[in-house]
Amino acid sequence: MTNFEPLNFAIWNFTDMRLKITGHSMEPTLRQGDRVWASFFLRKPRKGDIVILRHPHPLDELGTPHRETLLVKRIAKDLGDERYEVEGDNPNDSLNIGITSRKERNKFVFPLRYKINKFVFPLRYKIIAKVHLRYWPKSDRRWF
Amino acid sequence: MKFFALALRTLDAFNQPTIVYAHCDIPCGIYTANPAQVAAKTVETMVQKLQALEVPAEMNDKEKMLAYHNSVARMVHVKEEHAALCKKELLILWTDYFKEEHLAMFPDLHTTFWKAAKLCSKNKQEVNATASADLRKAVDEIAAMFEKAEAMKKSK
Repeated sequence: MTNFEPLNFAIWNFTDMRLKITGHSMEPTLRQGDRVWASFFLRKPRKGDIVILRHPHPLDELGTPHRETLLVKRIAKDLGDERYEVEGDNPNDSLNIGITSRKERNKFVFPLRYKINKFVFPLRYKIIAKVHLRYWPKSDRRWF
Repeated sequence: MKFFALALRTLDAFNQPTIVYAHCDIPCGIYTANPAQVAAKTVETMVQKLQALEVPAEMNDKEKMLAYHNSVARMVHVKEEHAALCKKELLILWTDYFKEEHLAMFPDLHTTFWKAAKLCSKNKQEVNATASADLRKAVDEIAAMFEKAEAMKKSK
């Protein structure tokens, strides 16, 4: 995701979410270099879905945009209240990132909401999409 | 749905797909204190050089003044960059390498890192020989801590 202009944002999110996998934490399901097509969820996320996550904080301490860092994981557990535990398929190469959420709830992005509720929202990776199709490599086409 | 996949592959020819990471952090597990040490030494050297730099006697000599300002600007730039780099490398060690089990070994771990990170900022703000020497000492101390932790990991 390169920018948040409404039009580009909409196009990328709804029609053109092509993603290229880097890293090995989803092996053997998704390997390095595989390309997948993802889209927003039409139903509630369930255990076993492969999801795309976005970093909760817009910038890291040196000002590099975190928002452009997307992760791919599998839902391991539904904790209720739109919270999910996620994990990689490859236990040797996967770090725990804690509980993720579907809702956008954190004080850094919405300070107003934080103030009104007087409640500290934890930083959570947000589930933004579901992986539907692996379209690359050509011979390994697969729906998830 | 063959055609949909084909369409996506065709789109890829015109527009690269976005990168998505199948890991949360770089899980290479490669950590070293050397970059921070080199950066701290660079900062110290730059401070020494800046302080040793002589102001040209004649203010009207344009060439000498330009050379002087050029040197100052370049040294300050390098100092700034390396102080930032030092801070970044220290934070990587602090947040990623050192774990809770190391706290028993080094009870003042957090204070050491916190002060060292603050010294990096101080060296950006000032041209201060004491601060730069302190920074180098603090980073060397952290490097020693790192070596100790590594040695313990190997002996296990």
